Amino acid sequence: MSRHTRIGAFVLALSVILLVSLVMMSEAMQNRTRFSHIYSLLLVVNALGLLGFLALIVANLRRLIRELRQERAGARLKRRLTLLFVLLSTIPVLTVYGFSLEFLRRGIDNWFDVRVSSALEDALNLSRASLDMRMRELLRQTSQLAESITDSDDGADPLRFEQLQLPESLVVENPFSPGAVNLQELLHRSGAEELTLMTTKGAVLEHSSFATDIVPSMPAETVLLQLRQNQNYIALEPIRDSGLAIRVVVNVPSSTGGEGRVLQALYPVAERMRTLADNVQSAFIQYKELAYLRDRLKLSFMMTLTLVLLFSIFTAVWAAFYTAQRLADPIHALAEGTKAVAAGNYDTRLPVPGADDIGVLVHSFNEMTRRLAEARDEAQQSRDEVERQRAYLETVLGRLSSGVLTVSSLGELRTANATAAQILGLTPGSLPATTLSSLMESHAHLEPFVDSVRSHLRQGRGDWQEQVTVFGPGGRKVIMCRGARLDASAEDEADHVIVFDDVTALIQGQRDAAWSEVARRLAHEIKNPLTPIQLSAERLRHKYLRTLTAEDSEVLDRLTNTIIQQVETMKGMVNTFSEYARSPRIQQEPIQLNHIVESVVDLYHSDEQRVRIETDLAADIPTLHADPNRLRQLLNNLVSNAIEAQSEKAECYVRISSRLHEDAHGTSVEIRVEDRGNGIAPELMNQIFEPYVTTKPKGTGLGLAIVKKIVEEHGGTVWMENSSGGGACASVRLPVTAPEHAPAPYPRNETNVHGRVA
Amino acid sequence: MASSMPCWSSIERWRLAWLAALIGGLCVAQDVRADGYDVRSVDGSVVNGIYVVDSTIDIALSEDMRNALNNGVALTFLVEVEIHAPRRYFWDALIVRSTQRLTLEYHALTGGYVVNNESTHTRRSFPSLEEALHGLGELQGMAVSEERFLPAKTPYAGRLRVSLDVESLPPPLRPIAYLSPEWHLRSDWRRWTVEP
Repeated sequence: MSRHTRIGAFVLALSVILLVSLVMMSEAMQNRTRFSHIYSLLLVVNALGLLGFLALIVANLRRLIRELRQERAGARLKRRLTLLFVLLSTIPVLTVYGFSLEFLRRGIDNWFDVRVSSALEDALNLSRASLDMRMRELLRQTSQLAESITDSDDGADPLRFEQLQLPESLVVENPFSPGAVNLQELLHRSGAEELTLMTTKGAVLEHSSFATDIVPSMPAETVLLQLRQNQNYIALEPIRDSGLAIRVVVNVPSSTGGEGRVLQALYPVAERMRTLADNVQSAFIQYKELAYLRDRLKLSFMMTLTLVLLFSIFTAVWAAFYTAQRLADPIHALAEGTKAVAAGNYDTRLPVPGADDIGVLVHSFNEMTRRLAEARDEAQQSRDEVERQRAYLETVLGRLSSGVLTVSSLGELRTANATAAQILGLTPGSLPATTLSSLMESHAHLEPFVDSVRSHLRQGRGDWQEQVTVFGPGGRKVIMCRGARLDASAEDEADHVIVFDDVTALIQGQRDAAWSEVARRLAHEIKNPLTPIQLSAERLRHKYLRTLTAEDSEVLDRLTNTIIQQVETMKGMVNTFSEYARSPRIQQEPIQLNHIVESVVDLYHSDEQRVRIETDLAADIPTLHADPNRLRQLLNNLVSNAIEAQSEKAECYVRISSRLHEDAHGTSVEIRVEDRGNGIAPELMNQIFEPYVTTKPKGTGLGLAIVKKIVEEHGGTVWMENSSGGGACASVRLPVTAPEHAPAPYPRNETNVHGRVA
Repeated sequence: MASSMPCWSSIERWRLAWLAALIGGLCVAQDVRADGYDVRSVDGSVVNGIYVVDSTIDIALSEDMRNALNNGVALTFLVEVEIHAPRRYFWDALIVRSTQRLTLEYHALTGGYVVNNESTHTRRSFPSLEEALHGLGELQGMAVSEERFLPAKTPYAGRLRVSLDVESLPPPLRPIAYLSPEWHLRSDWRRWTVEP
């Protein structure tokens, strides 16, 4: 049951109660017998009911004013409807009220007429007059009775009135005076209803009555007073229930003197006479009462009418509020619902008020919000789907070993995966939200890459592929770029996707493999004929040295020696080649790098005095797991390389330092071998570790290539750079790893040879 | 008040004023006491096993009442008698309540006044109003209760009062009778000790 319905039912009940109460009140006004006893209660009930109505109306009015102030939707419509309803209902009711009031006043005035009033008074007087004649006659008769009592009287004992109440004294004749007056006889003779003989003080002497009533109807005190002054009394009196009676009280003349006695006789009035007189009397009294109450009666009727009027108006006003509320509520709900929808709450559903027009409207509204909510949910689902796809794609891109960039045609970076930042040597996550230009400004080494991308963007070609070389902080990098326009249909504004790989290691690997193959073949092809050549030369010398002349033998000796010597050199060369070409076979054991460095340096100390080797070894170098022989070879190669680089100088200076190095890739030990030679030509910097690349006038050109091979075998990195004070500096980094773990694969692109021009 | 409670809104002040007016009105209504009625004497006795009360009441009519009476409006007086058993720790227990209705009306034909006791169905007529009022006030042998309903030896507390029965007036007179002190009359309770 809704609030509206509850209030409606309550007001309906209140109205019914008030209506019934008003009807009863009106009945009570017109008829004394019906509802008259609850007239006051009805008045109170009506007043309270009307007060209740008034309170309801005031509450409604306050609510309306509040809604108008708040500019609630539908409030103005409610005000207009209420006003209209109130005017429509109140004006006719007020008109009827005005006329009714006038009619009422005139109607009540018309009840009263001077002629009726005087006629009633005449009738009353007439009754009195007709009774008067009979009364005079009865007075005379009673006086005679009194005289007859005097004659037969000799003074009876007074019989006290109180004694009459005793049953034994239920006597008519005086037991103490047998010769007393026979009242019973007098009663029969006179035709009276009741005879009482009493003293002038009111003490009953004798009593006789036809009625069963044993108690005599006593005259008033004033009557006795009047009799004591010798005036007889006669009056018409309404006695007991028997209606009118004539009371005659006369003095009993006393022959002896003493206390005076009176005789009272009650005579009935003839039945017909009595009825008529009673009717006249009651009609007169009623009329008189009505006349007396005329103004109050008018007031009461007017009050009743006013109560009816107030009831009608209050009911109408309340009904007006109620109806307006019922009409305005759905409109308010619609307005609120629309606001909610505007605010994005599509789940708003309004209660359908009924099957009327507004109900249809509300139904449509609900349908609309339902559809909107569905559309929103679908959109949300699509968004979620897209987000899922994006996350999926991001995951895939993040796990790719290739860098992926998307760039707008204007050079704005849209997306980039983590590998892209890594390849370009940038901090992860810094790539999107920037442009190619700003990227170039902040990272100058990326210029070739950016230039290449830009030129392809400008050309607007569909697919393209280019290899770009950049020199970054991590050294030279060869980047293989492949680009494509994302939306093939759009000509200018389309985004481009650029996929690129760091192919430095690949190229290096290919080159290394090629060199290994060359070395292996060379060794094989050259080594085979060398032994026969050497043997042949030795045999030639052995056979002909002694047979030839001294001059010739000297030539032969010199020539064969040269052959044998050169063959030996070639053999060494070939062995070095095969050493380079053979597959790694390292035997790791825990070593102290500093000790190895010192042992290698010791070899050179015993050498020529012009070589000066300085060591600067850090004390905190941990134990390495490496092949000590290979490391000795590595250091030997580097030191000899450094000495050879200074062969033209009078004094050689080599500085070997070691230190612990920690970076993102872990802990490693760094060894630097510096010289004061001429340094490395920039054009050779990238190929210095390749076989047969050398600046020295002599040597195999494999020293540094072998160094690089050993470093790679141990998972380390090596690079060459020109130091600021002139000369070159070779740096080797070897990772510190646990013994059980074989040399961890150093990130492939880091194991390469880096050139750095200081 | 304004200084102690400055935040009272005008609505609350109005409510307070209404309340004060209502309380004041009630006090005035309570103050309406009959100067016209006075229970002069009251006494009880047992007659034939019935506890009866004799009482003398002075009844004087206001001008309005006299006027109404002479214009045919019957006045009904209620004589209420109550007998309580006193209790120490609780309010007294009501043993008996008896009400007598006495009607005084004008008899136009005879020019006298009739006193009608509706309880005993006795009707007495008086030639003048003064006598009628005197007769009305003389309550002899008004039966209250049978003696057996008052068994204990302890004395009971009896009380008696007289009032005008407004509800017996004609409806148009009732509102004014309720509101006007001229009409709405009631004597004080007159107490006596009942010793059956």
